[in-house]
Amino acid sequence: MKERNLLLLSPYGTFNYTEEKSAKGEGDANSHAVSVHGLDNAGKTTILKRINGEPIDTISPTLGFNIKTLEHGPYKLNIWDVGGQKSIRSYWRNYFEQTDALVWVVDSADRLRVDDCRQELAQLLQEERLAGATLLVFANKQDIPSAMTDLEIKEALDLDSIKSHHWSIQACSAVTGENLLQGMDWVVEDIASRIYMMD
Amino acid sequence: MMTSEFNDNEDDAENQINQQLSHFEHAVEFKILLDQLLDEQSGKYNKSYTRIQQILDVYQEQPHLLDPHLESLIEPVVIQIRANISSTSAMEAQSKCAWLFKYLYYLTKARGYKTIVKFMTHEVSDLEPMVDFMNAQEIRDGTCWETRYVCLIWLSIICMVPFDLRKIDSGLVASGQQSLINRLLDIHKRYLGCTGKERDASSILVARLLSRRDVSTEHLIPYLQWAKEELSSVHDVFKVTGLLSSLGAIFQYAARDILLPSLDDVAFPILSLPFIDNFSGNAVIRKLYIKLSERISLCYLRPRVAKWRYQRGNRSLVKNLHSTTSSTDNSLQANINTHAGNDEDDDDDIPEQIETVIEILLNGLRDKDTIVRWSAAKGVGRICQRLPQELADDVVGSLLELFSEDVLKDGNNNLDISATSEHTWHGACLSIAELSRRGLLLPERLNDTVDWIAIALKFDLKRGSHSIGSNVRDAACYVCWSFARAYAPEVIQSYVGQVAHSLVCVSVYDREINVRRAASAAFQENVGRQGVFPFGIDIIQAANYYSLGNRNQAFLDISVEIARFEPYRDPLIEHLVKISVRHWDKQMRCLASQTLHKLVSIAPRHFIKVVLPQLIPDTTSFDQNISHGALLSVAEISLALTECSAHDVALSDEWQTSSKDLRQNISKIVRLIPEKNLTTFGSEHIREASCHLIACLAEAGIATTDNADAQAWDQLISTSLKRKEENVQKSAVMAFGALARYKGIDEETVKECIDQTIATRHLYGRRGYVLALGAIPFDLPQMDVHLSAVLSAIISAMAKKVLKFSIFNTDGLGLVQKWTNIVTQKHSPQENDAEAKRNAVVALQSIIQQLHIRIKEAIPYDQFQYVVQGLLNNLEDYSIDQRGDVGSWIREESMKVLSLVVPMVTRMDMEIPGDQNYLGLDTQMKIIAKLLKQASERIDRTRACAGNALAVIVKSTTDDGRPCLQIPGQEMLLNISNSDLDWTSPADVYPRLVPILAISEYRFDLLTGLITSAGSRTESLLRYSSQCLNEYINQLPTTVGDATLCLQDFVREFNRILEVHRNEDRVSIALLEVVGSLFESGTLSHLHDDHIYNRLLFLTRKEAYKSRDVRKLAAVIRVLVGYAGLPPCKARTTAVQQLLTYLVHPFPKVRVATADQLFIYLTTLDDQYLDDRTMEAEEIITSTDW
Repeated sequence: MKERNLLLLSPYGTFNYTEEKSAKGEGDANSHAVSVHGLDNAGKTTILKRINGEPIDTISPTLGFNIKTLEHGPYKLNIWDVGGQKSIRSYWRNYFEQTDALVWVVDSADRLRVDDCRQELAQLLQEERLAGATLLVFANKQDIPSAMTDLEIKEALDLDSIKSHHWSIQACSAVTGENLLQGMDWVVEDIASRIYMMD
Repeated sequence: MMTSEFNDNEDDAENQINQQLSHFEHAVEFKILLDQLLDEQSGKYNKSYTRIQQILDVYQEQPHLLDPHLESLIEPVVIQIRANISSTSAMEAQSKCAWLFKYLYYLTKARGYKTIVKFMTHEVSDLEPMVDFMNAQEIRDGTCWETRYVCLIWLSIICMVPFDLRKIDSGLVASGQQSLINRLLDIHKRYLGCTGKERDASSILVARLLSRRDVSTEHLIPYLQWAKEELSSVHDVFKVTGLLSSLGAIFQYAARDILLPSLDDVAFPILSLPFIDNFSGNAVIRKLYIKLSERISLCYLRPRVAKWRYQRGNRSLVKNLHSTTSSTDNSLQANINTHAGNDEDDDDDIPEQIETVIEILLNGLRDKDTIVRWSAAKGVGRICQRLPQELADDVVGSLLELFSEDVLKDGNNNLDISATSEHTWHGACLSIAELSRRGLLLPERLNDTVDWIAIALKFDLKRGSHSIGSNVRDAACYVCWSFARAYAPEVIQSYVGQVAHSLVCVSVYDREINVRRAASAAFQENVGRQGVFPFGIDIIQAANYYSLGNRNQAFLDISVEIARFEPYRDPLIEHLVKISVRHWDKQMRCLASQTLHKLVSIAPRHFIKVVLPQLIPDTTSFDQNISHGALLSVAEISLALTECSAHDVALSDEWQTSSKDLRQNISKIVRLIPEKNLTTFGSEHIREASCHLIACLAEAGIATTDNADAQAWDQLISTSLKRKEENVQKSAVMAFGALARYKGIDEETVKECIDQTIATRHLYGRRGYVLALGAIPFDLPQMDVHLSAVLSAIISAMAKKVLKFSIFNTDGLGLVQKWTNIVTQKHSPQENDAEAKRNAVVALQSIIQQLHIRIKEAIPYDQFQYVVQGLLNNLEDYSIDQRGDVGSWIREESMKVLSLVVPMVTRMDMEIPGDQNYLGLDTQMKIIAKLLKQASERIDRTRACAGNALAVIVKSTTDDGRPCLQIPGQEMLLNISNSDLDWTSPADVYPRLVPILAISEYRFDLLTGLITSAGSRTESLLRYSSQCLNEYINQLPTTVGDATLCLQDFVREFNRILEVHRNEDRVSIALLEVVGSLFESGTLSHLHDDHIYNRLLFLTRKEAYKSRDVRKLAAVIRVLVGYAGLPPCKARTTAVQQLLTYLVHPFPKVRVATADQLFIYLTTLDDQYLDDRTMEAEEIITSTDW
């Protein structure tokens, strides 16, 4: 018990070196970059607005990208939400420098495009600059009765074959807000667990 | 600088320094200011913006507090700017939005552009208007560079839109206009060589633009080639900086596969261009060069996390938790354990260019600028992460070689680091820390590393009069901190002792506060993460960030506390003995010796057996630092050992009897100190220390065993007493006193001291010996035989002129009578030495303190009267030399003695009835009067001293509560003493003092004091003192009625003062000025007493007689003009005649002053006196050039 308290007291920033870095909040160990991707109409922006506590009734397709900064416990997440239209997908790769985590949003009710979804994800994971990034798959729209379960989606996307990234799948609903937090919790914990090892 | 409207500015500035804020406190005010800025009609831009800057400055150190508000602070601004840019012409938009751009810039200054830029709009439709707006900007306009900076930053995010830039180009290529991409590149190139912030922003813009896939294919390589050509031909320092930072940013943002083709032909050759040699003096360019080298080499290497890196057991918290939670939470499925996988292919060819880059980085670690070393260290870490194990290990090898650079070995294989560079060591430490943090320093290498780090923790090289290396020690702490984070306890285990001891020593005994704190942070990290440090938690509780902030506390309290833990005791003592006691900083050596004193009780035998034998040879070292520290330490340890053995019989035996040789060696030290150390430059420190040694040895009862030693001791003391440095004298006096107490003192020595005291030939000797007299231990009754002679000598030394007298036949009375004559005589500066006089008073004080209740039995009545008389005379000592009023030292010390002796003696007088009263009422009143005079003095410090003395004396009571003094006006005085009067503040003091003038017994002295202050040339003092005095005098009745005091008495008092202080300009000028102003205010005209007028005039004229002091003459003239205003009488005529003689005075200034005064007098005459003759007089005065 005693020791845990001491660790919390640890004056991170006593050294001139670390102090200088955290002052501007850049390169701060507590600030992470997260990219949100997925096919169009998967619900990326809705998830983001829901987490951020903004109204979700007037959301239109994202033409371009959004950046949001969220505070999650002690962590600060810089979240990049990029549109999912086919024409935009080739530009996804422009947003990857220093990405700590990738959130892949799936429309669980869209059985027709599930194959498309798997291919896009597989291609994305080839990207060199995502090496080592944490991958969270959100099986969104669970509030729709016909939606696939997270297990089904895990099979459909062939997640078990992914060896290059820490990954996890989370069934959720952006409309009800169900399980969104659990997913984000996992993301920050996974990033934090390796943050001292990586750049 | 500050305007009165912003009263809280200073508070804000203070907040900035002192306080850690918890949230954005100014949010509401800030919003209002922002609205004013946004309101196009408000016209208060300048004022609002200034205040906004002030607020943001407060958050400069904690900008993250702004984060929750940023969106609302930026969005409206961005929208308004955007609307203006797209709807009006560039010129108009600029003029409308200039303040908003300035505001956005200031936000980026506080929070950093990376955070701010995220809130700027980035839609396709923003791009072209912004480019047009940017193109319309005038690059040379110095007033709105913020606009250009913010726009470039803004463009850098707009150009990230995920659409083909060629398609959104509204085109017009046909009409000869350039493509959008080229226009953006042109903008970049325009600002690339800027001297201002725009240069940085343009680098960001080009990197964002060129790292786009659709742009890079066509434009990236050509740009790199262009940059390379520019770099090889350009000699403008700003352009080179801009190019380097652009390239650095491009290599950071762009994808590796796009850059790969350019590496060998374009990018890598850039690193060997000659510009780096041309600008080798520029730290920024060197830093950018290091960064670029690092990024180019990273491009060669596939990104990955080195598989061979050291991984500490269960690093993943999730993994641990998951095994316990997964059974209950099925919805979360993950593959945590499958990480090791597909990057088996370690055998990529590592291009040879990497070696060149590593060479560059290793050189960067030696750089003289910290920013360059720090960049290089990070670069080394990042590159090693991507290297195969053998190569990375080579790098580690080279890093360790950096430590051994220029390290010499002496005959015993001891390392000598005096020739090394602190830059190199600092760089090496930083990179080692970086590597271990990333797990790239494998446990096998720890062994080699820890030894170097242990040296680095104590790295302190003397260069001239200061030392270097605190940065190395700081960085070494960082290394220890990163070890704690990187390695498992099993790995660290074998180094725990070494690391823990070193860290603890550094955390309590380092000279620099930041290093002490860094060491304690590293120690704490180790305790928390490793848990194998002995007594870790107890130590952290004692030594933490706050408690180590004060060096005295760290040494004297905390280190002693830690030394109670056995494993740390010897290392701590050793650190003190080997390092701190020999430190180049004298304060450190003193502190170290005091710490040793405190440590003795913990391990006394260790000190007898090990430490003392180690230190004794050092005491006679030719190196003055070493000798000084060792002398002090031996002194403190010997004393402490004796103290300890007082309640420890076994120890006493060991220390007193068994260590005879040791004690003998100690007593010989003084004789063996090299003569040169006692005489050359810096010898005062050695003397101080050796006198301290003698004092401690005497107190510890370590005797000199043979005569030679005893002689050496006496010799040292007597030569030190004659030194001019006061601190040396002080320690010599202590030694003298301690020795006298221990061995007794013979008549010979006392006589010698007295001789030296009253001899005038040796100035410094007098100062020292008179102090020595005070150090004779008079609390021992057997010393009383010397007392009478010593007191006479001291009394004599206090006077302005040394009185000759026969020591053993003191005719005290004659002495004092002679004295009164002396006060007003001129004195030779030799005899009238302020320090000697002050020291005499100090010695007197010490004697009285020692005698304490024996005072009446030890000092006979007559002699006591001389003492008091001497002190009172001292209060009239206004000696001046080139340092100013040096007499004030003597007055102050004398007042301290009075405040000690008066309550003491009066109490005894009261309590032992029938005994002879040593302080009669007369004397008591005299003392109070003199103190009151001092309490109205000019110097704040003196006034405070007098005030305190007064309070002590007036308030003193006997044990049964009767006041000790029975004096007039006691109630009034008590009131003043009991109120919280701030004696240093003239505004408070004078109004309280003036009413005391009513008491005739004190009037003369107090008035003299008040008048001197009223005539002072300090404006604040003069205002209060003269105002109070004038008010008081004005309300006095002219002649005696019922009142106790009248104006006549007062003027008589003036006359008396003038008589007594005749030709003492300090008093007389002031008095004349006061009289002049009283005439002016008309107060004195009501006084109808010819006798007083005549007397005053007589004294005034006498004062003016033969005077060549313009200030005094001016005062006299004012008084004379005052006389002219009286009704006709004899005095008036004389005064006017005198005035007329001043009209033809040889000094022009005097003539002018007289004419002025006369003119004023004539113009203020009543009409009845005006006639042609006065007109004529006025005419003459005004028309003559005096």
